[in-house]
Formats: sequence, C-alpha cells, structure tokens
Amino acid sequence: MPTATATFEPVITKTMHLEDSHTLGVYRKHGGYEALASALEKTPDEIIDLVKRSGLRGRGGAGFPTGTKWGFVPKGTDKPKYMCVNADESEPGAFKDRLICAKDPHQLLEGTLIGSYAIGASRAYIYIRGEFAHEARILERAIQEAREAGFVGKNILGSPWSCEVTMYVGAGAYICGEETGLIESLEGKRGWPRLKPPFPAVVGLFGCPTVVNNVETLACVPHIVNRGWEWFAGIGPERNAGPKLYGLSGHVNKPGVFELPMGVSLRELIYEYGEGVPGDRPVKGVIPGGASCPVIRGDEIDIQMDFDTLTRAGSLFGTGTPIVMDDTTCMVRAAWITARFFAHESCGQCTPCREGCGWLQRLLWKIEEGRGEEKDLDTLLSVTDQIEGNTICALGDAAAWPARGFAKKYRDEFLLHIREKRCPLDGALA
Amino acid sequence: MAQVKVKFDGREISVEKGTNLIEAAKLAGIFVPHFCYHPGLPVVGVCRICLCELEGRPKLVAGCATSVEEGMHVITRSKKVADARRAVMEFLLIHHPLDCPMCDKGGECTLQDYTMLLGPSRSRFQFEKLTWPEEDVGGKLVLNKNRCILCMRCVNLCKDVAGLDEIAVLNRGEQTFIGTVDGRMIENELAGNIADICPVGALTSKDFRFKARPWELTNVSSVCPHCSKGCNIVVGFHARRNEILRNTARTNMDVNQWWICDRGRGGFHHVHDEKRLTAPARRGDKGYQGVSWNEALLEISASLRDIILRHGARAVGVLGSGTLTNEEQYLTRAVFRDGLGITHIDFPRRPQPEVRYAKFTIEGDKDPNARGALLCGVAPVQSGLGVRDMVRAAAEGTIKALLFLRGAPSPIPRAGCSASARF
Repeated sequence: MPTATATFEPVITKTMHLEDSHTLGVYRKHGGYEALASALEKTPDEIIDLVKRSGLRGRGGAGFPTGTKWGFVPKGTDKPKYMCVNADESEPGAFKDRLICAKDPHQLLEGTLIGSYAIGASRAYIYIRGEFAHEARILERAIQEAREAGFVGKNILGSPWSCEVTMYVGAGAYICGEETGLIESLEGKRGWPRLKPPFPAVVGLFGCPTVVNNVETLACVPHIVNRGWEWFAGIGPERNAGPKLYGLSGHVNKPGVFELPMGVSLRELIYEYGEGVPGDRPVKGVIPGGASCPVIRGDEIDIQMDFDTLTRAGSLFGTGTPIVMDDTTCMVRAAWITARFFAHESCGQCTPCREGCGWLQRLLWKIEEGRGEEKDLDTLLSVTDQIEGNTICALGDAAAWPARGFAKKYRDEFLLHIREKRCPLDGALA
Repeated sequence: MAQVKVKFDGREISVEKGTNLIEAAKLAGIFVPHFCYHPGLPVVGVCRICLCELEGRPKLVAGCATSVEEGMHVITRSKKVADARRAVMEFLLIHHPLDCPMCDKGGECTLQDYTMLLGPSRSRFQFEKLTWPEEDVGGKLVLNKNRCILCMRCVNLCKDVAGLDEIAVLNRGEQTFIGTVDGRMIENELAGNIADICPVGALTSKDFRFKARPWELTNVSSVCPHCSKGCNIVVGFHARRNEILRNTARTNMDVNQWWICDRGRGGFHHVHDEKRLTAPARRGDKGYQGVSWNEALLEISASLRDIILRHGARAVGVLGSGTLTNEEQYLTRAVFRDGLGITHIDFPRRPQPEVRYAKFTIEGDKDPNARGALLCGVAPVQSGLGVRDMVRAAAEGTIKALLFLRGAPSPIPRAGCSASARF
C-alpha cells in the first residue's frame, strides 16, 4: 500500500460493505445517530463553528467552505429556513453520492439533520436525481425508518427542535444540480438558475433563507461532530481537509468509489486503487473531477487531488471523480462527447451558453469527421472565451472549460485531424 | 429614497438607490443596450447584452440585474465589455435567418439596430441553421421562432401584466422555443403589446403585417377614444396612402404605463370602414341617396324650424354623445338647448363589463367624455326626456324629430317620426 494513504481509515464508507448497510439497524449498531444526539446538546452556533474549523469544503464541485455557507443564513429573521440536499449528482463521471444514497442513506440523513439544526431549519428537502429510482426508494424507506425511530419529525430526541425531511425526485436535468436551478425545480418551476445576488442563503427556496449542500458534504458532518474538527482538519493537505470519495472510471482495471484522504496523488489513485490501465497502456489524459473539469495530460498525473492544487494546475478538482483515458482514446471525440452533453443539458436561458454550446459541439464534430480547417480551432477557442464568465450560472463555464482544455492540451491531435482530414484513431486500435 | 453617487465611465451622477445600471446609465447619458430588460417587466437577465464592467470586479455583471451602490464605478466602454457584447450579438445571430428584407420588424428591430451598433458584420458560424415553421398563436399574432432570441418579454408580459400563463418557454438548450401551452391560442386582450415589445420579428401583429414599412409611417401622438381610461397611443399614419395602419402604445405612467388593450390597438379600422358615413345622405323610398352638405343643412334646418313652429321645441329630441370633445359638448348645449330651447337633450351610456388583468384594466365605461357632457349641460332640462323615453316618444309620434350627434340606435325609429338626422 502507498505511504500517503497507508494509515487512512475510511469513515464514510466504513459500513457500506455490510449486508443491509442501508438499514437503520445496521447504522445504529455502528454508532449511527449518536452525532445527532450530541449535536442537539450543543447550540447551532457551536455546530457551525465546529464545521468552520474542520475546514470542510463542499463536495459538489465548487469547494465552498460549508461552515461559512451555513454562517451566511441570517439570524433573527422570522422567515422559515430550509435545508436542501443536492442529490442530483449528474456530472458525467461522478457516482459517489449515489453510493451514499444507496448504501448508507442514514449517514446522509444524520448529516442533513445536523445541518438543519445548525442553520435553524425545520424542513429539509432531499432533491434526488430522477434517474436514481433505486436510490430514491432506499432513501424514502430510510426517511420512514428515521421518522418512526424519532430522528425525523416532532421534538427530535426529546429536544424542542422539530424537523421534517421530504424527498423530491427530479426529472433528470443536469441544470437542476445547480443550486438555484434545484431551488426553482423544487418550487415546481422550470429548472432555470436564478440571477445572483441574492444568494440562496438569504433568498432561496420559497423566498426564504436556504442552504443547498451536496450529499457527500453532509455525510462528512456526523463524523466531524463525533470525532472533532481537529481530526477532520488533520486529514489531507491544508485548506483541503477531510476524507473524500473518489469515483474512478474510464480506462482502469478496477473502476469504483474509493475513500481516501484529500490530496491523494492521481497516479496513486489510478495505479494503486484503480490497479492500472487495462493492457498496461499509457494514460493519455485524465478528466480529474467530472466532465466539466479541463483535461490533464497523462504526463501530468503526479498531482495531488485537491481543490487548490488542481486549480493551480489549470484544471479543477470538481467532484473528485477522475475519468481515465488511455492512448486509444481520440481526444477530439472525447471533447465532442463532452460538448454534446453540455449542449444537450444547457437550460436555454441565457444566450452565450444556449447558442455557444451548440456551436462548440458542431465545431468539434466537424473536426472529428475530418472536415475541419485550422481556423475552426481558433473559432473553437474564441467561442469558449465568449461563453466563459458571461452566463447566469456556471454551466456556461463548465461547457467552455473542457472544450478549451482539450483543444489546448491536445492541439497537435486536433491539427492532425485537420491535416489528415480524418480521425487518425478511427479504427486504428479498436 | 436615498441617493447614491456612482460613476459611469468617469462621469459622476447621483441616482436613487436601487436603480439598475441600465436606468442609471440613461441618467448619465450613456446607453446600455438591452433586449430582455423592459422597465415594465420583471428582470430576467437572460440576453446578456447589457453586460457592464464594475471597477475592481473580475466578472462582468448584467446591467439590468445590478443595482447601483455608493461609490460604484461602472465601465461600459472597455474592450472587455465590447468583446462580451459582440460575443452575445454573434451568438444571437448564429441561428437567426437574417431575413430583414422580408421581416415585418425591419426598420424598428432592436436586433437590427444593435447589429449595426455593436455586432460583428460577418458570422463565423458555418453550419446549417436551425429552422422552425411559422405558427399562428392567436387572433392577433404570428410567431416566427427562427427570429426569436428568447428574451422572454412575451412570456413575462402575459405572466406579469395579464396574469396568465398563455405563452411559455419550452424545451431546452438550443432547441428552446417560445410556444403556447398545448398549442392553445393566446386569447388575452393585452397580447397585442407583445408585438410592440418583441425586440425582433418573432411575434408580429397580424393586423399590421406586411401593410407598410415602419419608416413610411408618420407617427402621431394621440389618446385612445374607446373607453374612459384614455390610454396614450401613437397612431401610425401612412401619409401617402392617407390611411391609418396601426395604433401602438405610448408610455404614460399615470394612465396606461407601457400598455394598451387590443380593442384600442385595433380601434382605428372604423375610420376606413366602407360603411362609414362620410357624406350627407337622405333616406328615401329607394334607400339612401347622397346629397350635398348645403342641401342637407338647409333641409334639416328648414324641417327643424317647421317642426318647432308647428309643435314647439318639445317635439324635438337631441341625442348627444359621451365620446365628443368638450368643445363639441359645449356646442351641443349652446345650439340646441340655449339656442333652440330644446329640453329633450341627453346622451346614451354604453357600458360594457370591465376586464381586469393583473396589472391592467380595460374600463367598462365606454363613454370617455361622459363627465364633459354632463358638465357642459348635455342633459334633460325642465322635465325633458332621457334617451330611452325620447326614442319611445319618437316611435309614438310625440317627438317629431330626433337628432343624433354621433351614431344612432339601430334600427332608427321611424313610425310617427317625420325627421331624424344623424351626424
């Protein structure tokens, strides 16, 4: 086993291998809902402070400090407050939240309840992706079990605080994973992101203060309460603390979800945990954190997987779910597949993303088909510049970054397509 | 409300707190382009053409959705802003058919204007454009989705001003389109405003379509005469053809804000109606026969004099109108009541049910100058008869002559009434 992670003991996935790990019985046998009980003995401010000190950063992709987000919820307002759980995991390459929902839903519920208590919410909504029908059924059962056991509902564990948890199944739109798109969808409207400011912490669901947190983020919370912020902050590099679920996919021998500390090296992840590339082929490129993150080349994989390091390297940590591509992969085609996804998922609200994503997709397909010209590559880069930063939500950026990343990192391969008027990899290694 | 000091491209102005950058820039004499923003509609911030730079902020902000703050320095003329706006223009035009020569909006199209002002003159988009068939969306509008830039003004007008979800955004991505719910028609009576506020030729007025180019029209400020609301309108008059071709809304915050109803919008067609009485005519055994003004006036005055001499002034009834101007009301009284001593003088009321929309009411009182008529004394005096009694008395023969000053009840009472004249 590699040195950096040798001493790490998984916490989030600890019981997931057990039979019936999704049931309340198994969860409680392993200390479940003890964190909720001890959280209720603290004040909400103490919980927020605890999470702030732990350095927990949102696991949904943006890496915003969770405690700070909770702290933005105004105090002394008579409006109700809401906690929304973002279980709309729809980033291509990400499948870590799904695992939590399926294998340990009570961990998510406990985190949700502690978070709700911290921000003063008495209603939490779990917004789950439409395609997660199986996970939705498990979650629904878990909520029911928790309600019967007195963890959800009125006067939780005999305290004066009550909290209801409601699950809402989305209809399978990527954009509903954007926090304000999610809120709109929860309100029964078209899932269109809102203009910000105001931010959801002030004006969110039904016009009330709202916190939207990712599933994995909330799953970390009970452990922080149980083990203390020092424990959490001690895992991984500075400012990028904690355990992390890495979802490894693509050309690896053993794809899957691995719980490791933040900051594990990408090479280690691929070669130790993913057991290398099939046929011992070289890694050509890796999309480090889900489809919206710019690709990194195979010779750049000696990199720490955390928010700050990957941002410095010109990519993004995203959801921490690398997609590995070996040398049989056509990078133009990979770029096109990504662009096609974003063109399909663009909500259509604001101009640059609606029109630009379709344009990117067409340009990439033209090059892949061997009809490309050199100026198309310039146009492609210019279109990504024209989208980036000019849209309402981050989907525009999320579509522009990968296209630009592919075109910049694999410019030679793009030019080869253009020169040879065909895809040089088409059929060559199939 | 509190004032804040802000700078636009170095020009400092003082504006009310909460004003957005587009409106504040206007006060500074700076134009910020906008498609989706309309002062009478909710801010949606979707078109992105109003992007402005704020000093010290890395990202551009939407001018429509950003409020001024004390000490803010807004930059509208940097390269960054120009690039972003040109980018938006290029994006908006990639699927646009560029069919200005046959588009009804040509000449008053915001997209056309901004292309001249900001846009790239050539497109780098070299793919097949998305196309859609033209669609009938209701009695007054035609939808051409090819030209649509999805600014949402139409959707928000129906939702916010009319309070009805009759038109919506459907589908997503570049396949997003504006459409009616289940192909139903837009039936609200404010829908005509959509043609006014659509910044492109996507939703055009069936009534005005292909009648003329907007630059051929002489636009005359006027007031709609069709109900007591008195909406401010612009009458589009084609001088060469001597024809009114359309009415559009004219902003008056105290009366109609930015909107007019479709009755007023179409309320000019009677002017050119072939049944309209434009010259004197005499009804005889063979129907109506044209006569000269001179002949008509002589005959009317002679019969009036004759009737008054033989039967007295109480044998004549005058039906005025609540649609006449104050001057006309005064003359009605001066000539008939004061001059000829006629006591049966009144005007008909033509109320209709009021139509209330979320932010606009079509008044039920269809006599816009009823108050003027009353103040000028167009009312029965000395136990004179009202409208209904006059008509009955005319039918019975007690009243020998009825004068209608604007339109007449249908059918015109005949039996026993030897003369009736309408003007």
